[in-house]
Amino acid sequence: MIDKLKEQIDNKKISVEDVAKEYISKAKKLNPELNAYISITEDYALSHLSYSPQNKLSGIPGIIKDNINIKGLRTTAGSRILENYISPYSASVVLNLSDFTLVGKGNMDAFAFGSSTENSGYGVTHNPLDKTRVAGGSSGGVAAAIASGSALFGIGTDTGGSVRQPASFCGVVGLKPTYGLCSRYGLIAMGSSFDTPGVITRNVYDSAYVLNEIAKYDKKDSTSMKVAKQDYTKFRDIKDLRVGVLNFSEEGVDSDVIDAFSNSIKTIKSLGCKVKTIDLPHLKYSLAVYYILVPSEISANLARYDGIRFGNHPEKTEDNNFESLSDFYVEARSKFEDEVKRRIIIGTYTLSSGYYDAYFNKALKVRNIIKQEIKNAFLDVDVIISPTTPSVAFKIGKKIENPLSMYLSDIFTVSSNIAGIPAISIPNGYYNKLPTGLQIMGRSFGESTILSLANFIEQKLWK
Amino acid sequence: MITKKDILHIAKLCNIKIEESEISKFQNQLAQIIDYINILNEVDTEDIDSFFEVNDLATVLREDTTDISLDFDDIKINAINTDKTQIKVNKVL
Repeated sequence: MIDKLKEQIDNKKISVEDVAKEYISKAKKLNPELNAYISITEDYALSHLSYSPQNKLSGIPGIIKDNINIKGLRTTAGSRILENYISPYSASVVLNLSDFTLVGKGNMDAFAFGSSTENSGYGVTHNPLDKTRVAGGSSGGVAAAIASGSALFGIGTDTGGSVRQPASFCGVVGLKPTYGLCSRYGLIAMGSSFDTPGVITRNVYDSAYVLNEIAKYDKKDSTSMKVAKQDYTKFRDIKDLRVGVLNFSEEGVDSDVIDAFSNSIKTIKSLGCKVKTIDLPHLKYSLAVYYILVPSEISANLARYDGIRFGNHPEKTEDNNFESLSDFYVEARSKFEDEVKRRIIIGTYTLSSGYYDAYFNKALKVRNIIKQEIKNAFLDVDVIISPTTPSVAFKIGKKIENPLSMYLSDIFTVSSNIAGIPAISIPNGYYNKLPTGLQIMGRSFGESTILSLANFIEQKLWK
Repeated sequence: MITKKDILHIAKLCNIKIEESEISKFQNQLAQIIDYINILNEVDTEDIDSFFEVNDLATVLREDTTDISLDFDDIKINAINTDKTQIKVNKVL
């Protein structure tokens, strides 16, 4: 899709300005019912139009999740604490999208904490396929915008499934690259050793197309890796590819999801891949590791929201004139949404004296075990497949009062963030018009392999 | 078991205000989460390193040279009170 539009722009069949106006007007029309955008950046887009044929995304409309900084624009991270924050610089990943047209900033769970965008300080995003259901999260706004066609590509962030899970819920493609392949500079930090920017698009080719632009070493991110440049849209032959089918407990997994997954295995076999079941016995601990380490990193990363240099500045009142600095901090931080408070509290607890060894250190050790187990598995197979999520998009309000049940919706996605490996989610079935997703995980920096397999499955299933 | 006192102590450590009416809600939700993460006690981690780096990078250092950083004019718009190139804050002590 992206390359077709690019061709039309290059051949002067349509102007960059007309493209921008078309997509922005669609976003404005849909936003009252979907709430996919926190900001629609019409003035910014129209005053920054530029076109150079060599830039692959020149004039292509995109949506950027609102926890990714763009200089001069408001960046809220989905939280009211940053409702007036103006970015003083742009994220490297945004600068790498030279000349793209910014339709707007995507809605999200506050600070990317959540799996439904219900934790957004700006209202929930509705699933375009069924407006009574969530679009997933935390990059729910980006996924909804791509699914409803108001942008052709979106950049989200994925710490435990925040790109893949909403992509699965909205029937689009979500790619979480290897940790270190794309720069984190300019992303609002959540769990720094897990966070990675990711791509949401309508199809696998577009995902590879955008990855080509954002996979780049960045000296401003000290965990960025120098990797040889390659063209991810050149799909490889996948005949004889060794595909590991994750052996997972079916408890709590919808029968529709299991049906779709079984069908995908058949499709993969028909493509000439060698399929075998693999056991990863420690993967069942991934979610517990995740919900210790990520909140721990969150509690440290969110200490910077003190209300002094940026963020919510509390006003002095008669009752509270902030005699102590601590009173000022507490008041400034009172605007954090409930889930944000909850995660800061969990992380402070797991890092606190007396619990540090039992929780934080223990989780780090288990993280090492899981990473090694996955690495060993890749001696035997080239990719590992599983469903993306245990259920289709759930009803708005269904899980919000029970954080643990919400956390369990990340059960298949967190492992790749624990190990830092790449993973992609593609639609693999529809049940009552609601999509299910297939997740393909690959070796570190093995994006080319997972994209190739994803592409051939997509061709077989939907073309 | 997480007590009310624990919750208030943790909240104080991280400068988060919890209303009296919210304490039992947070207490129950936390207890559930802690109960879930205790599953890690099943894993034998004897002889396992607690040092972790995703891509096994060693310490990454850059040359110790000066470079252009962010422009103060772009930063100060987010602060309450500024003076030339400084951000003014409340009295600390």
